[in-house]
Amino acid sequence: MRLGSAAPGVGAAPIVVDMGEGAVRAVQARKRGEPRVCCYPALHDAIGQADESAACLAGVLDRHGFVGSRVVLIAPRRLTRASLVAVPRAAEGVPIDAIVRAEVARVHGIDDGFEVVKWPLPRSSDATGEAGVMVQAIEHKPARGVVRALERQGLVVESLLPVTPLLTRSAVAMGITGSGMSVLIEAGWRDAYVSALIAGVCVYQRTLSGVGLGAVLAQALDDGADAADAIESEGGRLAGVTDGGLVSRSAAAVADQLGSEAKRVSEYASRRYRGHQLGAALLSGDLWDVPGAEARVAASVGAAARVLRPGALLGAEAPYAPGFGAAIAAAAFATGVAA
Amino acid sequence: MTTLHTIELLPAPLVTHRRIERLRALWISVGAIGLCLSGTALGVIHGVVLSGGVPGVAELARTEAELERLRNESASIRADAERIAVGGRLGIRMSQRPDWGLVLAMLESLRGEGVVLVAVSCATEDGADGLPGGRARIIVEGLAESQGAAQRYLLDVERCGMFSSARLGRTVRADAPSRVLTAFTVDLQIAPETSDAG
Repeated sequence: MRLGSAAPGVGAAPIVVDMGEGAVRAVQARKRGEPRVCCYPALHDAIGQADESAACLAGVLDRHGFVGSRVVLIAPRRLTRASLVAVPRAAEGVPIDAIVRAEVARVHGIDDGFEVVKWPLPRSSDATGEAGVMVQAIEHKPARGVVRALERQGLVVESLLPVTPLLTRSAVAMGITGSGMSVLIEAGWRDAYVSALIAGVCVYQRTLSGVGLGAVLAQALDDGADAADAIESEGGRLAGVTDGGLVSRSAAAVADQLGSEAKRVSEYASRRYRGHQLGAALLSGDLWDVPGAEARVAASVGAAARVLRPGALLGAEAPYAPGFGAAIAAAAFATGVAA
Repeated sequence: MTTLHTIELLPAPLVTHRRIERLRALWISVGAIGLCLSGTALGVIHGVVLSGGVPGVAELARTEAELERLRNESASIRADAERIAVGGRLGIRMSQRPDWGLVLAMLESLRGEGVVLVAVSCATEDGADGLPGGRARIIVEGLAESQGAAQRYLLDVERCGMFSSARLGRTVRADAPSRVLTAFTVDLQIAPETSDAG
């Protein structure tokens, strides 16, 4: 199958692509049976080496039997900026959108064009008369660079979706957030993101730079060796790394740090939304493949920890790795099997 | 994708550019299809219609030729009818011409004692249509023994109904060797019969 050729892909679901910093993942739902999935190490920087990255992706998709050219792209984590913006109460004539955009541009120092998605926050218990919105923004220029690179490979990017809203929506769709508070821990390769959710709505997000497993491993490997090579040397898969080895110890340290950060985030949210106590920690990212990492977080936050596996929304039976969370959620929403 | 549009981050200028591209492609397609259809239509007209390949058009051409032939035939018949009509009118006019022998006999018979006819002249005019057989004029010259005798002759001529008008012309005294006579002229007209008023 030549990727991008129209005929073989007619009627096929879009290919969801998550170009992470540690690994690139693709998921395509099918009418019957398990979805097509593939995962390979990110050999190129998806933003700085967009053309090489896109060419590599196109080749992999072709070889793995993905059909069609429609792509739903998960917004590269490094490009999205989260903000909590206080806005006046919604009333006629109040330019909420303009206020939000101005505030995002000011906070993040964005001079050029950018897109935002926003959602209103629940009324906090320390009501000051101001309402708040949570915003995820992405700058046009780098986003366009990634999209254009994929288009040059014959792929058509139909949608560009931020990770956190996808994960929170999938958690709500699976009914695991309830009406209480939960924390969502996205453990990326370099950075991590901890969000507080109230009734499934993200009300706060904290970015933890340089605490991802890849970054921690790179620091530990002071001889300049590659972090991915270290994992490879310990069995090739995080789920099977040597107990007590470097990767395992690094993962435990990262899990502990993320657990403690999650606790702080939940305490902050509890102060802002009184009456809500942490119910569960939802985990997403490759880190949670490492044996014991999940339990360490549960111990740190003092609540149940659960890896977010939205495969059930697609009707998939296989327990896809925690790193597939955003891609599988997007595949489920994009094909309409989950709302 | 209905639930995802609220978290869409695809750059708006890119979306707009794509829409423009799609519209452009659509218009190009529409234009190409239009050109193809126009070309096909022209080909059909040129190759089939103009060459008479369409039965309806051939039938139309035959009908037109037949109409032309009938028009010519009609003109010929109209010309014949006109000639016949002229001939007919001529015959009628000829039949309406006065029987001069009868006229002269009538004029003579009406002459009573005391009147003698000296001369009778006849003349006919062509009709308005240029055909012979129009109005006829008869001038009667005579001598009467008195003015009254001339008047009586005029009245008798008038009463006979043969003439459309009768008018006494000049009456002059004429001296004869033994007595005095009255020379007179009577101007008579015979108008052709009109067939009908309309």
